[in-house]
Formats: sequence, C-alpha cells, structure tokens
Amino acid sequence: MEPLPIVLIALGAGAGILGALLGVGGGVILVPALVLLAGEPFPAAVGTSLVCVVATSVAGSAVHFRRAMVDPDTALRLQAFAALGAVGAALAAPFIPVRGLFVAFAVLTVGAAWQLWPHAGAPPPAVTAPHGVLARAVAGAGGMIGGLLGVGGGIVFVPLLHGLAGLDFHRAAATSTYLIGLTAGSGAAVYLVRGDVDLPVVAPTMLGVLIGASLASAVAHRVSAAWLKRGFALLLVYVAMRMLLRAFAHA
Amino acid sequence: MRDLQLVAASLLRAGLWTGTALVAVAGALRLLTGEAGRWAQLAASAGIAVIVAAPFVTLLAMAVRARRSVLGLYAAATLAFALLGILLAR
Repeated sequence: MEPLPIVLIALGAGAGILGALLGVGGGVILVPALVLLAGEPFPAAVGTSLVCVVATSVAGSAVHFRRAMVDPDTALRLQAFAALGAVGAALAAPFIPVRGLFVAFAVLTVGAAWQLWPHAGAPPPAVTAPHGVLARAVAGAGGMIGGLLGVGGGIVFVPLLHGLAGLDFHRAAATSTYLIGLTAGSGAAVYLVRGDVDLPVVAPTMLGVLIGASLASAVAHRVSAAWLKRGFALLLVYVAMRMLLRAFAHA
Repeated sequence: MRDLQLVAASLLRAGLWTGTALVAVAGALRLLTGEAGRWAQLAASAGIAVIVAAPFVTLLAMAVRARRSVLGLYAAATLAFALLGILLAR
C-alpha cells in the first residue's frame, strides 16, 4: 500500500532538516527512511532519493553560486567522471543482488557516521595534485556510490575537493553541493526512464525535503552542531544495523 | 567568473521555482479530484523533469559562457554520459 502524502512530506522534511543542519546529502537519511518506514522497495527508494537529492542540490547551489562559493572550473573538470560513474552504477544496479545493495548501504552509512563524528585535533588533509588522475578516479567513485545507493556522494566529494583539488573547506562543500546535483541527476534520469521512480511518492517527498531544508537553514546557526553530529552519527549506526538485518532477512 | 556564477544562480533558481510550482499544482489537482489523474501526473512529471534538468542546463550555460574549449568538452562529455544512460535504460 502506498504511504499517505502527509507521511512522505514528513519523512522528506525530516531528511531535509537533518541534511541542511549537518551538511550531509538527504539520501543517506531518505533511502533507509523510505525502505524501513514507508516500505518502499530498494530500487524505488534509490530513484526517489536521487530526485530529492537533485532538488536539495539545486536549492543549495543557487545560494552558493550567488555568494561566489562554487568553483565552476573545478566542477566542470571533475563532473564528467562523476556522471560516468553515476550512470554506469545506475545501469548496473538491477544486476546486483538486493542483499549486496543493503550491505553496501550499511557500510556507507557507517562511513558517513565516522565522518560526522567530531574528531578533535584531526590534521587537515594534504593538498596534492589538483585535477589529477586520482582526483578524477575519486570523482568517478563518488558518482558510482551515488548511482548505486541513492546518495549524493558528498561523503566522497567534499574530501576530494578539499584534500585533492585544494579548495578551502567552505568552497569544497559549496562546489560539492553543485556536483551532487549533476551526479544525482545523471543517476536519477536512468531510474526515471526505467520506471523505478514512483511519482506519487517522489512529489510529496521532494516538497517535504525542500520545506525541511528551508526551515533548517533559518535555524542552523542556533543549533549546537557537535552534539547534533554525535546524535546523528549514533542514529546512522543504528540505521546501518537495521539495513544489515534487512539484508539477511531478504534471503 | 562572477558573471558565470550569477548566471548559474539565476538558472538554478528559475528551475527550482518552476519545478516546485508544477509539483505543487500536481498535488493541488490530486487533492481537488481525489485521485492522481492524467493532468496531475503530467504536472508532477514535468516538475520533476524541470528540476532534474536544471543543473545540466546550468552546466551547459556555464561552459558556453566561459568560452574555453576544454571546459566545453568536459560539459559535453557530462551531457553525453547522462544521455547515454537514458538511451541504455530505455
């Protein structure tokens, strides 16, 4: 049975709020929410999530472009590789067992939790070759993660742009927001054409995400980011365990 | 470069507002008629398509505006990969 639109708007708003407050893509929240709470099949959850990720990216990057925070040169140079990864992964997804996708998502979720946990005294990453082969390969890997698991790939793009392409953290985060839209858009187009995006589900969820992200950006400066990050990291570990349990129940 | 960024911001904002308005119209039609009719589905599909297309239109506009052939090639490759994905998924 299809979930009620109000439930989907609420799920989307929750993902939008957490995504905007914590600087993570909505996908890492939306995919498990749609699978575990709304009962959506994994491919439909991934397709729906990708469309919502594009919407949040478009909203966020419009603001970042206006504030001159996006580096268009770096974005243009790396985007083709990320798009190639996303399209390849989206095309390959139907041939990968659902259990494998659940396990991969659980691993990604634990990785996101690790990245979110405030690490005191962590050394800044070293700047190596901007636009080098490694940077392009990492962009392709970020695209693959996005196309396969329905996340934007920010977990890969921000360290890539900051550590390998040499952008300062705020510019890296802003440029990543724009890259995420193109990567998720490339993957979403494949899911849309294949019919893996449920329109009655995606429309209210997307509206919810946009409402949630707008609300969160108004109160973001009043929230203690460190405690929120710790709490959310623990929630992500719980989500990873639920996804693993679902993976083995799928057999 | 600043000009490029302002064009990108305007295009993204236009795509977002147009797409969101179309999805909201689809939702309103569904509420009024009590079912997901043809027009509601058409409006929702158009809204989603506009939002998904917005970053690509921006990419193309930036590449054209930058007037640097290497950036144009990267933008063309990105669009080609996205279109290839659509063709192969059909």
